[in-house]
Amino acid sequence: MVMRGDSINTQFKKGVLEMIVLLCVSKKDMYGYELIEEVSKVVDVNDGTIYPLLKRLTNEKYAETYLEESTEGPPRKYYKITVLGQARLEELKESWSTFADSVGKFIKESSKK
Amino acid sequence: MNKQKFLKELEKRLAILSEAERNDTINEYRDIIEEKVKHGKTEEEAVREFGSIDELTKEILTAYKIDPEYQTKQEGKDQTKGFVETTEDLIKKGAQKISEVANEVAESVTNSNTFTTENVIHIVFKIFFILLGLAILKIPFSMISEIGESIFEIHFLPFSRALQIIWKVLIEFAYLIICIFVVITYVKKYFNSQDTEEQIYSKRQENNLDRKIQIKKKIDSNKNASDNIFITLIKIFICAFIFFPICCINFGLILALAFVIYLIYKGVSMLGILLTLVGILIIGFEFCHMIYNVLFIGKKHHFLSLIIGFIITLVGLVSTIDYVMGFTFYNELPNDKFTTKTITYEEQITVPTSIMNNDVKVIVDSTLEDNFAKFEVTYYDENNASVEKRFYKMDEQNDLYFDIEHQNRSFNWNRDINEKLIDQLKTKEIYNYDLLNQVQVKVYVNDHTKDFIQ
Repeated sequence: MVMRGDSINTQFKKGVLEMIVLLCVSKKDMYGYELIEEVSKVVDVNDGTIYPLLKRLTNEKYAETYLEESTEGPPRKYYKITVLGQARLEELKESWSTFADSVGKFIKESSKK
Repeated sequence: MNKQKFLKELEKRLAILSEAERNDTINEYRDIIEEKVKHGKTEEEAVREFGSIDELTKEILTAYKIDPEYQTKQEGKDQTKGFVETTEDLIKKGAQKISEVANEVAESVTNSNTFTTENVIHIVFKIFFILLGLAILKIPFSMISEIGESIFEIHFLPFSRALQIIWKVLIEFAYLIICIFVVITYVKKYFNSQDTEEQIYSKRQENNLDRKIQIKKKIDSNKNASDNIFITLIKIFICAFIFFPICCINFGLILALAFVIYLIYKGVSMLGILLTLVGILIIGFEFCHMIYNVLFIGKKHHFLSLIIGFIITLVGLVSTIDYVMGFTFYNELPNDKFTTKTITYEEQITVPTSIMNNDVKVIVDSTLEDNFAKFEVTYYDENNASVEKRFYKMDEQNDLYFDIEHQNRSFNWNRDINEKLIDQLKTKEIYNYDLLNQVQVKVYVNDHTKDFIQ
């Protein structure tokens, strides 16, 4: 399932993007392009917005970067989740599920009538 | 928009960020574009997927907690900036530029990956050539300066001095500016001529010193014509001032080697010297070969033969020292071949007299009369040599000089001497052949006359 981009969705997507990115990096360390590919499997997002987000995450110490030689071309900058990031992810996941649950419940209730 | 344009635009818009952060961002976007291209997209498509550049810049700046509107506000301010501020800015920018260039130079020097012999030779000679060019450039400038000064001296008499100084300062200043311009142009050209990719890498290194990057040296296909001319000139320079002299030295060494081989043929055991010469010759030829390879073929050179040359030279030198230490030096001539001869002169000494020979002994003999001197002149009587007594008379003073005359010095004489020398080399004896040209003078005088001899 890919969330298609229209103007209302943009705000939703922005909200969950941080969680999705953290989820991606918590699975394994990734470099920029890999992350964009991975994230766009879930949400259709402007590629450009990922980097500022990553920048913010590293600034807030949720993620850290390191360089690794690649067999093709220049060395890649890998993003790795930190302990702080793990905690943040748990927080985000929890608030997301409560939010999704309550919204889901509300939708169900509304459609019953 | 293609990659280059996009990155340039982004760089411009992120000017507010520190250079390290900005480069970091640019690099990240470049990497992403390159990956996308690798996966089959065009550069334009990859760039399009980033969305509008306005939006992107805004987001990036927000991630840094910077008010995205700040720059546009700043631009408005810039226009109202006074002249002083602008010049100040200009100076700051200039200083920044210079430090950037210096950084780049330092980097390329410290970067061990580009530190090949070829590159070093290239850089050193580029610098040398620039300096040479500037020195030559000084000639027309000083000529103009001189001409101007002489014109001022003749035609503007009352103010000539001041005008001359102004003129000189102006010319010097112009020369200085041209120097700076030339240096900057060449430094720029040097860095531009390197592959752009390499530039990007080196920029990255600026930000991340811990990055270990293999710099692939690529030959730049679009080196411009002037750079080629430059390289040709350097080649000519190296040929004229290094290649040719080394060739001459090698030629000299070959002659020396031939002579040594002749001596060995004659029975002198000069193996050490032979080895030394051979070793140096190998080094010389290898050096020539190396320069030739670097200049005209662009091939790297093996150092094995150079090392062999060094080892042979070293062994040769050691045995040469051993050989030379075994020699005995005699400050005389072989007695069996050369006999000394003594002549006596008697002279009236009435004025102060200097005896100009090297080896003079004054002996007091009170039995002699006043103002009377007896000279005993000893010399090696070699092929009927004789001594000429020469007076150089000056006011109130005499110079006396005993000069040896070799009447029969001929080709034969030289051949004789050579034969003797070779014989003595065999027996490891060295005699002082210079004594053949010297005379020993003994002067007998009484106390009174002694005062005249100086």
